[in-house]
Amino acid sequence: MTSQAKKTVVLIGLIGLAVLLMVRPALAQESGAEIWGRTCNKCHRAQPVNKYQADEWRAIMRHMALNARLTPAEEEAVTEFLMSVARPVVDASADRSETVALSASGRLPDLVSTDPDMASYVIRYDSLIGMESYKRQCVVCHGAEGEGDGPAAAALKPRPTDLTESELVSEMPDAELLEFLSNGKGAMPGFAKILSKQELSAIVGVLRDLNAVE
Amino acid sequence: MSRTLFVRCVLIVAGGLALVVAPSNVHAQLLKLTGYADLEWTAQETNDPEDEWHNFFDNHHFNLIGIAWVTDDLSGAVEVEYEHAGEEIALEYGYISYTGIPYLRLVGGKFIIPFNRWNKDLHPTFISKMPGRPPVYANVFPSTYSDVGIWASGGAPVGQNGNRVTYDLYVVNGLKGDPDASSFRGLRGNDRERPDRDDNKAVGGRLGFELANASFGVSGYTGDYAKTEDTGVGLGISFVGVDADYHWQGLELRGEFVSASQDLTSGENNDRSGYYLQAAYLTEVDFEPVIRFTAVDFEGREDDAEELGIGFNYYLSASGTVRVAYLFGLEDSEFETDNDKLMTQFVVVF
Repeated sequence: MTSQAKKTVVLIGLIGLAVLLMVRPALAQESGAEIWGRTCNKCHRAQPVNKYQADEWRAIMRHMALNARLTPAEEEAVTEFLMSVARPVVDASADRSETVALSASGRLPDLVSTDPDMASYVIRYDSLIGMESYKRQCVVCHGAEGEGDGPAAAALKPRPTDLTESELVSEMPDAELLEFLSNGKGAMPGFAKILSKQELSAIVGVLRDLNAVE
Repeated sequence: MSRTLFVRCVLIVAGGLALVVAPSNVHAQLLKLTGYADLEWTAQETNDPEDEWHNFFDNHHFNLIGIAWVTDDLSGAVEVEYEHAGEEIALEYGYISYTGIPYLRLVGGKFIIPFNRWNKDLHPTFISKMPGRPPVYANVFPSTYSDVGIWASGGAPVGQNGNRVTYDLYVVNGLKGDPDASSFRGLRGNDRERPDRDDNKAVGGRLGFELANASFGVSGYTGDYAKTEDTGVGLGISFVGVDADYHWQGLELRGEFVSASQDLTSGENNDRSGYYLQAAYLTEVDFEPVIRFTAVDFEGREDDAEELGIGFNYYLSASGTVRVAYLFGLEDSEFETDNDKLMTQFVVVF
């Protein structure tokens, strides 16, 4: 192929691009978690979402959105998701006496809620809200059936928990599950900043259903 | 102190004060330092009968990446590469970006050329599934190629399924080099950033389609890389590329094709083409076997090259990976004996 022909190919490509961009399609309705699951893992294994703090994710996402050529809506959704589940900023001056006391009693220290209202919150299962919230935030890792085989699961290390066989889920009281979902633990991020208490407690109900499946 | 120096000092101090006192949301700014590093051990066949296998360690990369978030619309990034234990120090990229226009990201500075996928997106050792560059990206496209210029990029959704069309368009100073030089990658010579180089700019782009489990794209690049000494006529170099990938669970299939045409002073063209095909499967125990086949066709020459790589990756964590691969040189292009290689690599992204 001559240089002239190749220049022609490039020109045709540019014209095609202009035509495509003139047709403004509908915006994607996916959640940030779903977009994160299907885009970030295409090139590399996604880093744990709570590896960085919110501001760090904001900077990183600006760079990565360029690399991945995300749409504006996709970039905004993924950035919002990552910032909401990011590693919290540790306040070294905070009083940790309550956490230490609970740790000494043998309870999981990372599950201690930082929200004083959370402990007294009444769990209300709502299957509609629960399934919708689970679909938008959890399916990407844990899968539609909760078996730890969501679209992003293969690229994650550690692999997402199989919720259907998780003793942690079956043995943990509702209030602790709610705190787990809110604050996270290990590679599992907390969702308190992106989901309401109503949505979180509804997901607890979904986890009970998934865990009860034989 | 001379008057000029005094004026410069005053301007610098005034500029610094202006940055300090100017009304701005300083808390919104952030500089995130990250990067990746690797250690390689390679055993390579040679044509020396007394040293048939040459082996060596290499701290191939210790690259620092700085990402600056300035405002909602302004950002920048820089990657400083320390290659071969610091023997080569260079700016892989350093750009500023404006994103205030929907569906358009404007980038200025030095950036990695978005040609196909391997050159820009897949070449870092923490991403590339197999140690070593596919020969097509050494002998057909001079990877890793970054250049100075302007780059427009973006993506727009198509339908409701998360599909999107992506585009990249750029104008850069372009490749430059000696038409008679044997080193193809030498066309990336550092003097391309100098302001006194030729006036011919290179243009190129990529049009891509991203589906849920797959993506594909077409790329082009064209520009002059030299002039004839007698007539001053520009000598052009052009690339056309196609890339595609498919993902399902832990399976990744990937392939890229590149065709190059280079004008020579003799009036002939130095045409070449090549491709690679790669398959990798990430198992649940973080073990990932990989196979890659690469072929390069130098038109009119008899030293075409083929390489078959078989290896595996083991992920110690999401940030640390051990890679092992045996690369069979199926046809001799440089050595009288086979040019097989055993490569091991430990990579960390931080």
